[in-house]
Amino acid sequence: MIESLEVRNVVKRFSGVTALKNMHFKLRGGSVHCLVGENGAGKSTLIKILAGHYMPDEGEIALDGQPLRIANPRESQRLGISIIHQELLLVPELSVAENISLGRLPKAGAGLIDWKSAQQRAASALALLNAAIDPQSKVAELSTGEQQLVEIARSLSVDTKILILDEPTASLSESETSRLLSIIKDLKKRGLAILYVSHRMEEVFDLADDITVIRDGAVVQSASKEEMNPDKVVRLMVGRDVSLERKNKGVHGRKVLEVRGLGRSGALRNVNFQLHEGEIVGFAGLVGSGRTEIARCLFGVDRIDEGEIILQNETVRIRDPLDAIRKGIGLVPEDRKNQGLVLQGSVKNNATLSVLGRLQRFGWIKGRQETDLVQSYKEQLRIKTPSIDTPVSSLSGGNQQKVVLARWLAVQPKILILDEPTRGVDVGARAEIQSLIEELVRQGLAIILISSDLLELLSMSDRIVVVRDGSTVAELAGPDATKEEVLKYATGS
Amino acid sequence: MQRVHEQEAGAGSARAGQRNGKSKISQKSLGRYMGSLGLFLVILVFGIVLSILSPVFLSTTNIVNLLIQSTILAALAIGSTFVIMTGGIDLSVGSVLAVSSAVGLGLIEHHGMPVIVGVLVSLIIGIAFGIFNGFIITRFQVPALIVTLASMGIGRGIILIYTNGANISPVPDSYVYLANGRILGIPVILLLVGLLAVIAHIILSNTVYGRSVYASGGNELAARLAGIRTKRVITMTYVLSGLMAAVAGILLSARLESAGPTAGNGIELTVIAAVVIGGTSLFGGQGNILGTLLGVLLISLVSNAVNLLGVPPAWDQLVKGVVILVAALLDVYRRKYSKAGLSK
Repeated sequence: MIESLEVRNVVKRFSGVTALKNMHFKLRGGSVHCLVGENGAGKSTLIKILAGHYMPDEGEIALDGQPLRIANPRESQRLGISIIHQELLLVPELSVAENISLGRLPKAGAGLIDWKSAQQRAASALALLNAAIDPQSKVAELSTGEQQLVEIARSLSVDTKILILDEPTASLSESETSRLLSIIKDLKKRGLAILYVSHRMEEVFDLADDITVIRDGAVVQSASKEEMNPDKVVRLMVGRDVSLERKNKGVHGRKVLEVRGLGRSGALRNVNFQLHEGEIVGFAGLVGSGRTEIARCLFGVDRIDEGEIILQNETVRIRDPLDAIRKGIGLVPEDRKNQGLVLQGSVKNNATLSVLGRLQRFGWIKGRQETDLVQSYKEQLRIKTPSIDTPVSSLSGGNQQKVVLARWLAVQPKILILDEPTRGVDVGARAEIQSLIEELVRQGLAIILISSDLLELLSMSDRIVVVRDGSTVAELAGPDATKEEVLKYATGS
Repeated sequence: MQRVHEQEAGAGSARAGQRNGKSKISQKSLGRYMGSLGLFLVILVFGIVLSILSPVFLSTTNIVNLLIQSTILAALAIGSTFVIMTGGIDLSVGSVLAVSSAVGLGLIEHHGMPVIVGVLVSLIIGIAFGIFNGFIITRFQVPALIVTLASMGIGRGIILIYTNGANISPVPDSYVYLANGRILGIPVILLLVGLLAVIAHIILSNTVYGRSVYASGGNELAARLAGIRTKRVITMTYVLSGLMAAVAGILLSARLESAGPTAGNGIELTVIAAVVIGGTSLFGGQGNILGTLLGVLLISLVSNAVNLLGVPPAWDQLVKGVVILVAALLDVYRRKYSKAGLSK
């Protein structure tokens, strides 16, 4: 076990752009150090330096007081540094045991694999985590949370002294998250030094012994948890005040949507709710409870087997997404990269994808009109991009999400479904997106908001519809809409 | 995805990020320009070497010949560019070329139909094959490789049965005119294929359909969720490919003054090579007609060189294979280089 890992005045430049200006903090053995900062603050660069992908231009890394060079990833592993990335690095079609021993499967001689000791190695690593996962099961069949445990087990099966977790809970459910947090606390007791990167304040303040806030490639403040509080951390991260609470709740107009007894075999049954002009209805529920499935049915992606969808007092059948759009429904999907954007495409092409019908004459796109439209949304939503012809893949998560939002603003729907609109978006852009949503609602748009961030859901929504096992089980508004109430219905306890 | 991280890594501050992004865009457009430019340079060097080795090469006759020879491949490659841009593949073009031209010409020769009817029937057969391919692929989610491999076999079978293995000839003069005629001294076949290339280019770069092809190829799910009827868009690419295969069939039979069961045998792989050398990604979402035409030109140059330099015809395939490999490697190298340039 280690005493400390120190990052001392590290500077890193990329052809003239300074990514890290002055990075310094101390990670102690047997403690959790939380690193918080917005996207672009320099977290990834720092992790890559510790992983041996980059060498610092100035400054040094010191292990137990001894300065050292981490020249390549192999060196980093040799020092006992293990990194759990946001996107998991597992081979889905291989078994848990094979993944845990990937690249170093024990040999039984004659070039054969010693399956028995591979199984044992996996079983003992998983036992350290109290994880009930069969080493023989295929990784693809596990949930995201379980896959993450497999990855942690892999790093424990080698001699890891320093564990770095990069936003590990981004795609975990509530229960998986709390399980992971308790595992991390347990690993800390075993003497591991843990660097935990996240911008979820709840987790940070649950786990941290020390907190380091970075902004624009420099440390803003590094202190023990006792000297910090969530508001302060957010302020330090963003560099200004950010408020979450929506101001004018509960004012709404006529009914635009009613769903009655909606069902889809194997996914949904008896889904009921209403939506009014100028209203945000929040869908709460655990991951996999059926919230996204409801959205997909409303948007014509999946067929419904029973029940009615009533739009402006008229029962309708929604055949496909284009049909939904024509009927005034929009959807910002949960997975921006796989469902929301054509990544190679430019900002412009992505923004106008749903309104090409309006921008054409005889199939010919009116280029000038298109450019003007996108420019105006670029300014209105403050999309940070060098040009509207830049590929969206080079934008940050928050700006990518704004491009998707721009597309739907251009469509001008009556009902907009937002599925996890602020996931993977940094605090600053998140506040902008939230205030944009508020503005849209004020103009009379009806919004269905799906979010796993319960605080966001509670502060934004006029009413909360709780979904469990594919059914709507409760509707909460006003003082009844509390975290405890929502969780009670969401878990069915 | 990677670039998002690179951005995050590289952008120390919002302003630095902007600057970073700006240099990125200029490099990006330069990279794209370089893509076709690189291929153009390869062709130029190849041409210069060839003109030194063979004095005949630069003669007008040879150049015109070269261009005329590349028209068949060009017509097929233009159609396939649409298909490959959606991440699909069409192996049936050689068979469709043979079936459509033989049946069309058969109607004219054996049943006394007017030339225009024969031509129209040829085109309709091409379209029908496209609809069949596209429908099976999008409706039943069968991989394009398998579906078009099947229709390639079916098409070749039909033509063997229909022609009994014999060629169909002679061909009426008005039909031959399509290949050998000249307008203002320019061969009709060049004008025709040139016109089709321009139309294809305009469709891809300036129309709603072209934009839908890029989007469906880049990310089919995202395109569908944006309200694009991706199945229709993709089916349509196979229809265009079939139609262009029929056009190629008509032009080929007009040039050869006969249609036969072996026409276009094995050409599908050369078509794919030309399109990919031209910068269209096999994974979809990227590509353009200009690149495809350059790819076609390069491959045709190789045949021309083999011809002019008196290399035994048996060597043709081998040399072509090597050139395709080299061009593909150069292309990968170029992409890597321009990517490295982006991330710096």
